[in-house]
Amino acid sequence: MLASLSSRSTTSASDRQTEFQREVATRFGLVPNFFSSAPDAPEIIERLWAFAKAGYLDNPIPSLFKERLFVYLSRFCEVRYCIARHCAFLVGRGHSSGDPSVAVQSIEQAIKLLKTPPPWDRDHNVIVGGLEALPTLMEWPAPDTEGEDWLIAAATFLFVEPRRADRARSALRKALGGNRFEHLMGLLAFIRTAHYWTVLHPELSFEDDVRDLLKVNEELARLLLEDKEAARCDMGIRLFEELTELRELNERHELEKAKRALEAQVQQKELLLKEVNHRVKNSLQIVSSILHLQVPHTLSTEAADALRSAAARVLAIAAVHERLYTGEDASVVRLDAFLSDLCGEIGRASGCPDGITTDVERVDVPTDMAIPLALIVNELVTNVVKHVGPPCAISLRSEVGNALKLAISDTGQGPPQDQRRLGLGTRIVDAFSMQLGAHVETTRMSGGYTIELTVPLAPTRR
Amino acid sequence: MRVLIVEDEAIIALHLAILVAELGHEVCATAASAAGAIALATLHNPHVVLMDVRLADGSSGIDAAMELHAQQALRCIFLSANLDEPTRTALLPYEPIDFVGKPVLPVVLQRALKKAEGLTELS
Repeated sequence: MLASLSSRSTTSASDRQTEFQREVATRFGLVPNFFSSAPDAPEIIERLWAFAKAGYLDNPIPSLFKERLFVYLSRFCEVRYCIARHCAFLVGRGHSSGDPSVAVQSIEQAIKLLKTPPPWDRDHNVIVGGLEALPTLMEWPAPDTEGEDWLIAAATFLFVEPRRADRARSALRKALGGNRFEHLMGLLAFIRTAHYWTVLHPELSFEDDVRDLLKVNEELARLLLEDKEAARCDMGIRLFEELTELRELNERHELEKAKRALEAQVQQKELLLKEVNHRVKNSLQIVSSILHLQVPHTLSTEAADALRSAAARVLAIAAVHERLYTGEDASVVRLDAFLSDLCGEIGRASGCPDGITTDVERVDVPTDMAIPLALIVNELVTNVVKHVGPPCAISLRSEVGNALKLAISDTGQGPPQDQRRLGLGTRIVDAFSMQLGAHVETTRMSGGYTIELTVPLAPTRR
Repeated sequence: MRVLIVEDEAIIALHLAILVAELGHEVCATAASAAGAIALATLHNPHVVLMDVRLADGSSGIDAAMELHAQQALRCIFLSANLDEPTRTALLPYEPIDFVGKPVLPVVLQRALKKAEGLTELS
C-alpha cells in the first residue's frame, strides 16, 4: 500500500521532471548536469531554472556578450564545471545563453578571451577610466572590441570584490545607464549563484561533450582546468595576494632554516676535522718524542742507531703531517719548503748542518704521495750522510708530461756493484718507488754518484 | 738563553726540554697551564717562552701570551698542531717571534730559537 503510493507520487514527479528537462534541452540544445544536480528536491532546481531564465537566458543583454562574460567570470571559481560548460556553449556545443541563433565562436576566440589578463594585473585608469570618459551611454559592445574589454574588466572587479569596487560600479552605471546596469547586475548575481551551486555540489561532473572538447585542444584544456586565478572569488583579491605572499614568505623562511642547519652542520664537521687533525698531529709528536727520549737510555751503539733511524723515519712522516691542513687545500702538500726543512733536519741531526744542499722547484703533490716521497728522501739522504759524507745535493724538478724528477747526488762511487743491498733503507726506497710507479736510474761518474727518480704525477686526486 | 717551556703533554714537554738543551739553551722551567706559565715566568725571568697554544685545564696559550706580553714584555715562539690563519692572526698583537708547527721538526725549532737569540741580543 505504502509502496504503491510512493511509486505513484514518484511517477508524477518524474513526469514533471521530464517536462522540465525538455524545456532545458530546448533552450540549451542539451541538458547540463547542473540542472539535474538535486534529484532529491527537483523543485529547487526548477526555482534555479527560473532564476537562470531571469538573470541569464532571458536577460535582454546580447546573448554572445552574456556567454563571453559568463565564461570569463567563471575563471574565478574554484570548481571548473561552469567555465568548461559555458566555454563549450561558446564554441557551439549547445547554445550560448540558451539562444540557438547566436554565432558560434572558434576555439581560438575562446582561448583569446580566457587569456585576457585579469584587471588587477592591468592599468585601472585605462579600463575604468575608459568607461568614465565615454561622452554618451554605450550600446552593448560586439565581441572582442575595446568596449567589451572594458565592460568585462569592470564587471570582473565588481564580481570578485563587490565591496571594494565602488569606482568600477559607478563607472559601469554611468556608461550603461541604470536599466542596463541592473540587467548586468542580474547576470552577475546568477553567475555567482551558479558558481556557488557547483561548490555546494562537488559531485557535479562534466558532460560528455565537455570531456570531448577538453580532448580537442590541449591549450584550451589547460586554460580551463589549471587556472591560477581560480581561487580568487572565494577569497577576494587582497586575501589571495596576502596568501600568496605568505606562502612565499614561508618558503623563504623554510629555505633560510635549511640553509642555517646546513651551515651549522658544515661548521661542526670542520671543527671535528680540526680536532681530529690536532689529535693526530699531537699523537705523532708523542710517538716521535718517545723514540727520541729512549735513545740516551740505550747502552749499545747498534740499538741507539736503530732507535735513531726509527725516530728519523717517524719524524719524516710526522713532518708531512705538520704540513697537512695548514693551507687552504687539504688534498695537496707543498713539497719544496718541506723537503728543504727535512734535509736541514737530517743535516742537523747528523752534525753536518750545511752539508746538504737543496735546489727545489715549487711543486704541490697529492697528500698520499707526500709520505712515500718524504721517506725515500729520508732514506737516501741519511744513507749518503752515513756512508759517504757530505756534501749531498738534492734537486726536485717538475718535468714536462706531468712527472717529478727527484735527484740525490753525492761524491762517492755508489754501493759496491757486486753487493746486494738488502738493508731496511733500501727496501723502503724500493717499496715506495714501486708504490709511486717511479722509474729509478743510477749514474756513476768520476766525480760522484746520482740516484734519479722519475715519479709520474697523476692529476691531483681528490 | 733562558727558555720557559709551556706544554701540557708531559712526554712532549720532556722531549722539547732535551731538544732545547741540545740546541745550547737553558730550560729554566716547564709549565703545563696558563697560570703556571705566568707564575714561573715571574719567578725565572726567561728570555723567551716556547708556548703551546692549547694547554691543560682548558686554558689557552693565547691568554698566557697576552699576560706575559703585558706584564713582562715577554715574546713567545708559538707551538701548535693547528697553526691556521685565524690562530696566527689572533696571536699577532703579542709580537710572536715565530711559529713552529707540531709535530716539531727540530731544525725548525732551532731556526726559531736563533731568531729569538738575535732579538735578545738586539734588545
